[in-house]
Formats: sequence, C-alpha cells, structure tokens
Amino acid sequence: MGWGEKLIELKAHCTPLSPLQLWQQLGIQPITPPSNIRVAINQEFASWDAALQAGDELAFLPPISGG
Amino acid sequence: MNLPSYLQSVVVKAQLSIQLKQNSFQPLQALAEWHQMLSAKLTSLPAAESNFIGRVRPYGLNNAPLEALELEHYPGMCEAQLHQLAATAAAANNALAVLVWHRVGKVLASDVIVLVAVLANHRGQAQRCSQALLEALKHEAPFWKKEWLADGSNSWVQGNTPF
Repeated sequence: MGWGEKLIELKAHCTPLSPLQLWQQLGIQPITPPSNIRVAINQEFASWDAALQAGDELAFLPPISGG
Repeated sequence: MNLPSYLQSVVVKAQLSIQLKQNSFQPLQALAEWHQMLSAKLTSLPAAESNFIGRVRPYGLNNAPLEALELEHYPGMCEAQLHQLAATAAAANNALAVLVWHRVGKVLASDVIVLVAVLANHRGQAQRCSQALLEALKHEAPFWKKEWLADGSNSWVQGNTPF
C-alpha cells in the first residue's frame, strides 16, 4: 500500500461505513481486499462488514508472520 | 493494564505473566524470577513444567546469512491478544501458570525472540498448552517480521516458518 497510518476526515453526515466500504472509499488497491488481510476495530479482530462508529480505531492487518 | 471487555469475560484461573520486551533478556533468569514469584503465591510449584525458548535463526528464508529480525507489533492489540491466547490455551489444558515473554524491535541472530513456559499438574497438560500457545502466537498475535540480511538488504517475511 505504501503507507502505514493515515488520518482521514470523513464527510459530515456520512452513513456508517464498514471496513470494506472504507477500504474502497480510500481507493486502496486491489479494490477487493486480498483474503489474507484482516480487520481490527478498536484493537479486536472484526469482520469486513462490521459497522464503524464515530471514534473507532480501524486497522487493516497484513498477514501475521510473528511469534 | 486495562484489558478490553471481551477479555474480562474470560475466566482466568491460571497465573499469566505476559511481557513484550524491547531489549534482550536472559530466559533462564526470567524463569528463575517467575518461579520465585509463583512460589510466593502458591504453596509449591506444580509438578509439570514445559519451557520453550525460541532464538532467531542465523539465516533467512533463502538461506542467506541473516543479521537480525525486526519485529513490528500492533501496540495495545498485541498485548491483549497475548493475554487472550495464553488464557485460552491455559483454560483448555488446565494449566496453572503461563509465561510469555516476546521480543519486539530488532532482534539479532541467535538472540532469544520468545520464551513460553507452562506449569501444570501433569506433563501432557503442560506440553499441550505450550504447543497450542506457540502455534496460536504464530497465527493470531499481531507481529510482523522483517529480515535484515548480512548484505544490508531487508524484506518483510511473508507467512510463517514450517512447524
């Protein structure tokens, strides 16, 4: 992707987005996230179609290679 | 440390000692201090103990000489995940105490990268808990590794090493 963190101001009155919708709104390629990318909301694993709330911390996690 | 709500619902019977270490540590000294701490809490140390010490291989995935591994982690989530994984493995195997110390940052070849120790009443409980926890760490803990080779090049590691 070429970046690790981004602060993005969303449009006022926008409807709640899911991580998938936000991924696509941000123009991240490929438009369909690779299956090995995982999502975390507020530092807990979450699904791509979860509803984001104001103030949520969202992370797109590359394939884990640790431990 | 304030754990997230989903962790607070886990019934943690085992004593958990979880630490992310920015600097190198001596695993045998860590174990001795852990034993001392547990001895003060328990009447005696449980009968069975399984210890695993993982060190950085001195070669990369393509067998080139490796200088170091750089461990990046997701602060906050990583610690919470380690607690949850340790609590889950302990509960599933009736372990009484679990220690996980994991390095982050740049870890030189041959240095210790992870220490996992499990105390239980029986060897099977201790060994199974240790193995389950190690595999969980490989796949469910938000760490990412970058290889620094001796020639100065670096690259992110894709996936995990074989069991």
